[in-house]
Amino acid sequence: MRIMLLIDFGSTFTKGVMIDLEGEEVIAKASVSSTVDRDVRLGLSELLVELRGQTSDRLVKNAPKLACSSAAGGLRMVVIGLVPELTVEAGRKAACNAGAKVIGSIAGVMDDPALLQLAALKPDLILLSGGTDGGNKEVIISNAVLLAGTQINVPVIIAGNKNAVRECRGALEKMGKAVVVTENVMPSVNCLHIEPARETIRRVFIDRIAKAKGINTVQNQVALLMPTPNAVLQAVAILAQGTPEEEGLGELLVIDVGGATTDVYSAGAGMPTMTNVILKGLPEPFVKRTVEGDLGVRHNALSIVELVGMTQLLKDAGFSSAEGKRVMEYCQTLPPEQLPREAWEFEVDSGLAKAAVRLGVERHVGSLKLAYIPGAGETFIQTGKDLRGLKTIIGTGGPVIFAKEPCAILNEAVFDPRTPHLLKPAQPRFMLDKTYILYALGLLSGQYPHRALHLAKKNLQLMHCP
Amino acid sequence: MEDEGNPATLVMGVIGSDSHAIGNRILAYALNEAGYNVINLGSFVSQEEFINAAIESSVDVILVSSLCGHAEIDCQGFKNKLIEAGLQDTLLYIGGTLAVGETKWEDIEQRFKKIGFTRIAPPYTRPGEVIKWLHEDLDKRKNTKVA
Repeated sequence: MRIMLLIDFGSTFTKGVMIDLEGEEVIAKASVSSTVDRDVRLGLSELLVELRGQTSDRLVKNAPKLACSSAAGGLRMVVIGLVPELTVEAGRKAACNAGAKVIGSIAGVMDDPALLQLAALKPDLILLSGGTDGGNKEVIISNAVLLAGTQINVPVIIAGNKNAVRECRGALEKMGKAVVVTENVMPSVNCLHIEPARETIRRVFIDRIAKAKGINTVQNQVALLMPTPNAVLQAVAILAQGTPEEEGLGELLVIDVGGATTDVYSAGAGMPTMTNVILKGLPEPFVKRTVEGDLGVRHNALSIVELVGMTQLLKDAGFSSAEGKRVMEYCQTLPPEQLPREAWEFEVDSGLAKAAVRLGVERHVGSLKLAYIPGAGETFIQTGKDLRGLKTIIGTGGPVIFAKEPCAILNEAVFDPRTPHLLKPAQPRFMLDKTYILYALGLLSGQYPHRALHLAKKNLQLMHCP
Repeated sequence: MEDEGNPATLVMGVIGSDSHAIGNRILAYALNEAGYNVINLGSFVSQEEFINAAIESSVDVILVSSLCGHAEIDCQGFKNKLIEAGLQDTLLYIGGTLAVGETKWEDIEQRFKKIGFTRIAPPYTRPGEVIKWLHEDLDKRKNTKVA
């Protein structure tokens, strides 16, 4: 037997799954409380004890161990660029796909308030972009000089105009800042080029940020490879596209509802599906991740109430308006690690999850705007991905997996004729990541893409919805 | 901006709710052949898209096309926005069917001069003519910079 152990160091839980590569089977699974605030190794030892109990000392000891992490706040990034719709957006896309949480973005030359704001955000990492190759140099250089003059001492990745790189790097290094250079996220106008930046972010995360957060103390026991969302993104890519030997599931959407955030991943081209549509805006990557920092059923329960309104939340949860006060209290007082116990609590959670899925997917997918053209009549302008033809939606994350009716929650991701401009999947089937295995398959996919694909097909559960 | 020996960068596109793309492609081809670095935004281009592209790529000239007859409305406030964006020195050209009906060309030209366009091309202007203008204007600019 060839056994691999895949680990996710989360903020709340440290999870592990043991996989028999030859049998393509999950042989053990465990989850323990994370101990990142004290010593990440404590949680790891506890996890290994659990897994030894389910298998054997020898198997756990000998299994190669790969890990991802979203602990200690995950990877918090600020993106600096020039034009909000162009290099700033390209930088955000690179950061999101790398598994980061973009906690701030700055366009143009930074002024004093922007610098103060940047320092206050306390990012783990800064992505500095701006200018196409051969284009504007002044702004990115000014920003590098300004950044160099601050007390901010986190790594800076330069991913802007290649003709400005030398000066940017010089200015920052002169002041002792850690600099990593990669290719421009937007080498020419409207050309998205985020893969090199994504890989660089992953590397910097492993080499420097995991160390700063104290997560790297496990490095002699496990190989920490990437942030958790990056691992999920890898799984999404292989699951959709397949391997040279075997077909994948085709274009798909993965929705991960959590306590703090809702992550949406799509694998799909999203090109216009009608002839009278003109595509505008920055191109979308085939595999795309968006993360909603204001949509989560615990830390952000109140933010969901604020966004959709109590009336709508009660409707989503299937309650009468009389329950408003009680629901509000629940959202206000709920401890983040608390799982629902009574039926009533399951219903509130399900209401919150529905709202999170609806808003998260609405923000992820593209939209249409109607325009009248003299002579040509009605024409639509599309920005973002048209995912109406996408056939598979996969739900993951506790609030979806453990819900009484996951179908009802995932249904919120489906095209709604009342908002026809939002290009959500029209007739998808639903699948559930019941064993919470996607991150593990992402970790596995680098070395064993074929096995990862098989395990995904085996472990994702097709839902039969009413 | 244009460095010694580097070709000038141009951004072009069809402005507003206008899907006429053929002339745009012909002109883009001709300008490319003439050695310019051309960023073609295609049809349906808003003022903001022209400006964004011009900022990121340090563009020397913006060439606006319009065939639907609504150019005057589509271009309202364009020059002011360029000034706001720090692009007051970017040259602004326009060409195409710039008005509908029987309006005299001189009147049309005046209106677009007022908006801030420096070169206004009537229908049937050949790409060669535009290239000649570019040579003249960019040369003039280089000389004033040196002086």
